[in-house]
Amino acid sequence: MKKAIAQLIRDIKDEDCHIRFAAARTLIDVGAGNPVVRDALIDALKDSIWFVRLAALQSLLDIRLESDIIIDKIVPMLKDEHEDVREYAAFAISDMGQKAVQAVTALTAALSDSVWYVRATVAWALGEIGAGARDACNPLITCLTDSEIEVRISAARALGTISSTDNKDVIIALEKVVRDNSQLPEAKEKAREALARIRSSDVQRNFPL
Amino acid sequence: MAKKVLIVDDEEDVRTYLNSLLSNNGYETEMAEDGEDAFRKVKEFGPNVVILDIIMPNQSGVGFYRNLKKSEIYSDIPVIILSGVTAYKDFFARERGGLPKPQEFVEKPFSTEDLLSKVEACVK
Repeated sequence: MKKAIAQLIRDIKDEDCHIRFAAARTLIDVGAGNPVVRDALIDALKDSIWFVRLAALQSLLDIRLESDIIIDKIVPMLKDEHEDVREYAAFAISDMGQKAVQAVTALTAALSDSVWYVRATVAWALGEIGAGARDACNPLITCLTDSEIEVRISAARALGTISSTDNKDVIIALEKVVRDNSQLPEAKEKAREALARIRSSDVQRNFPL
Repeated sequence: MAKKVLIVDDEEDVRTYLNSLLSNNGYETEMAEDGEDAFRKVKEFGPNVVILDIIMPNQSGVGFYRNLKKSEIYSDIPVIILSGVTAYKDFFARERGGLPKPQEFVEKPFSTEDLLSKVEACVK
């Protein structure tokens, strides 16, 4: 096994990007608990080829590192030059739920990504963080008028998991979506669900069983 | 009339193999080597199903898939993701923001019977 790991550590620095890609994907299978493997994968996050960076990221997520280490390594990838890497980084952060609160500032900035499916996944990730992402409410309100329906749906859903009735701006913005006849039915439905969620969480907070 | 399958993969060996497999099983095929090429072929060829690799140069399979499913004309075309990156299975399966899920996910290396049965199910 040591020989296999040593070979793959060499391969992840090979000149051929396809060999580096294969090594980044395979290292995790032979050395998940090995700190040398972890460090090699972290180095590969800076590879010049996007799919090698993506493979390294996917493998690192399988190691189950502590959440602050993961956040530290993934957050910069929200600014990667390739949209697939940026979207996957947001997807990975969303998987950490409330533990990803340190990523809120970077995610909020990524709400203005040039690629619609990155924005949609970023908004969704903020929703997974929940109340800890409260600072993202205003940018998410802006996303309710995004040109792409998927972003609007994601933003409405996120506001429903993040906000409380104390934030009147959120309530007003979601009610506006519900009333807006130019919005598609899916967006209106998601805004309605978000409002219901905010109001029910408020009832639970004020009148606990 | 033969059903049409668009094969999208940057690896020539894989494209050639799939082309031969599907042609021998009565399908009309067309091939594309990245997402941009694939979108052109969708318009010209009008496939009944797309077999799609993910890691490709220029526009990747993710970008192609997302844009295909947003298209008013082509969004109903079923897509079978064919990828060796198993992490993508979960990535595509999770519901988020109304982003649509693919019809099927087939892991590379794949069994020809499995792939053919999934293609058949998609074109029915």
